[in-house]
Amino acid sequence: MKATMDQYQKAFKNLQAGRKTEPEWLRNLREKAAVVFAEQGFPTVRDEVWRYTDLTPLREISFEISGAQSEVQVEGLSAGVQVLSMTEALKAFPEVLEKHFGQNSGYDKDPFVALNTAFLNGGVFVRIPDGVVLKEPVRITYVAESGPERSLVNPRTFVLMGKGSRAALVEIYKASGESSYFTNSVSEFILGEGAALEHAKVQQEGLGAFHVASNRVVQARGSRFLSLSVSVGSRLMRHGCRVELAGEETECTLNGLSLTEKDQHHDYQTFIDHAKPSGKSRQLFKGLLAGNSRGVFTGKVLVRKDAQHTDAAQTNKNILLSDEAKVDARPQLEILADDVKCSHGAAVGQLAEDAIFYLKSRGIDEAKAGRMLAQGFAQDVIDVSVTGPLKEEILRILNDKLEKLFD
Amino acid sequence: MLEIKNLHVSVEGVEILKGIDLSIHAGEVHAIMGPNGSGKSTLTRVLAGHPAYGVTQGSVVYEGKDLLALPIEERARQGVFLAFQYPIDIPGVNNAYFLKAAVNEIRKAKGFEELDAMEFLEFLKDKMKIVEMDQSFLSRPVNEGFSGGEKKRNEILQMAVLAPKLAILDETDSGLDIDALRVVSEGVNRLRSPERSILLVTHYQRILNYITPDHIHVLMGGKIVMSGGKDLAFKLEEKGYEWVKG
Repeated sequence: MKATMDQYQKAFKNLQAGRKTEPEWLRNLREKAAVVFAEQGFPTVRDEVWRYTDLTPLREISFEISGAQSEVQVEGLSAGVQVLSMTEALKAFPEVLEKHFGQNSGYDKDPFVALNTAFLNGGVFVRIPDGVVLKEPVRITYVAESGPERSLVNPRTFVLMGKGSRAALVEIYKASGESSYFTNSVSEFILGEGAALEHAKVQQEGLGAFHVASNRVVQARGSRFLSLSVSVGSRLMRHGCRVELAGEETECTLNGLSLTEKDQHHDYQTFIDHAKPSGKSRQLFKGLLAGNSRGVFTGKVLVRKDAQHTDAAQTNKNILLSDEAKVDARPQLEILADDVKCSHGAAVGQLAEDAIFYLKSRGIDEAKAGRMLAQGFAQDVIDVSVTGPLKEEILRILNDKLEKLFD
Repeated sequence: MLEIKNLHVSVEGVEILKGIDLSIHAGEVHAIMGPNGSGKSTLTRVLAGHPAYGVTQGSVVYEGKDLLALPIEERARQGVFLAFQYPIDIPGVNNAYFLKAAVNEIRKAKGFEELDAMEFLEFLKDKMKIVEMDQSFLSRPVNEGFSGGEKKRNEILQMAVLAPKLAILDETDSGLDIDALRVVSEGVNRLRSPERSILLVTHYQRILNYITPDHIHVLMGGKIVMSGGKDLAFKLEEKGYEWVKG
């Protein structure tokens, strides 16, 4: 295990030596991040927030860490949006980056964000200036190459939205092979006053992959953030999303849908920080688990003392499609203000037998009946989150996965 | 078409049906009447194949085949249809999608081409008139939020699109106001044909004012205790089930 951590340090030194052209602040940021990662390493199940997700394989596998990156495809460059690589962004808006990049990411606390910050090479920088309304969604696809076995890739998405701007953005993570690589992504979203972002993330990694995603959202006054996370791939996934409602009257909706089979393990961790008054947050996470798969949902809502008139609701529902599948759901509310409306609920169940009988009595066989019910279960999450061609695409992905779940 | 002989059925170890004999020929409408708890719904569910009901004795032959040996969906594909007393909600699945899936399963079983979305909607439009349903039903999730009357109309719509040979209606009249009862009954009447048999299970005589059966049977204590023509219903209405016992 020690040897592996040493390898990370050595690789970092090599990379850093070749980054002479990077600005001082970024080099320093990376140095600090590398130290944080070296000190913390990969968390163990003794760490409360990793209690249900065992990262032993990440510690034991010696990943190829020479700075390999996913292949990045960007589509939907409508008028007004700036989509740049890191190198380009450092030239185009150096002050903005210095001020914002990584500042809200929590690289000083979270070893995965630290790892990404130290090693990232590339990334996609999206800037939507004040008042700009994008006509079509920005679509970023990260394809982990099948090339080197066991590579570590650190995709970074950085989205800066100006005052009153509006946009939709889709992140897609997929692989061209089934190899056992490790995607350690960080996505930062900084929403200016009154900005509105509709975000979707589609995780279709290969079934041999590890996927740890750290999403960080900071919302200024009056901004709205709507995010759907659909996860069908990877052998082990952790999707963490931290949202800071830093201004008054902000709105945040986090939705998620996870479909797992075989030995897949999907862990969702959300944290919504209601820091200012009159914020509204909604969360709806659903899981469909087949085979020997496992799901975890930990959703925390913090309502600070100042955040009066907060309206927060959180729901987690799961359906187990086999006797071996298992899910741990932990909704958590911490309320320090006294005039708030907060609710949470979690449920774990099976497909309704009477509904299966009803469908079979109409000539529909067991597997198809199960698929219909499962799709029906997932439908509302999709309906409230996405529209148009993206919705059609997600429904297709869902259908393909359901075929496997009911195989 | 249907030949039930000495049928005994238990649920969780309790015998509910204690030797039913019934034969239904093509084109006939049979009504089974009886008080609550007599086993009427058990009979309909066991014919549809509900897994909670265990047949301990007897046989059911449908079109020369052992019906009890067929899986639930296979019974449907071969033309057996049950209109549920309490139709089940299917959240998130829209009605049109559900109806199309069912119709295509049954078409496949009959060796017909499956209908595509356009063809199906065309086909469905006609059938919806039978139960006076409007388009808005199609985009709503199956039975979810439907009123009692809407649910029953949806059952008869399914009967219309699936075109069964044997339709079993389990208390289709229960919970309906007079207008809904008329719509549902007229729907059933329009679906009567010389090739189609109907087994109508009811507690009350009133649906028989609209749908005239060829035969009426009285089920009590898990047995058919009396059979007769359509006039039997009036006697029952007048004298009550106690009269049969006496």
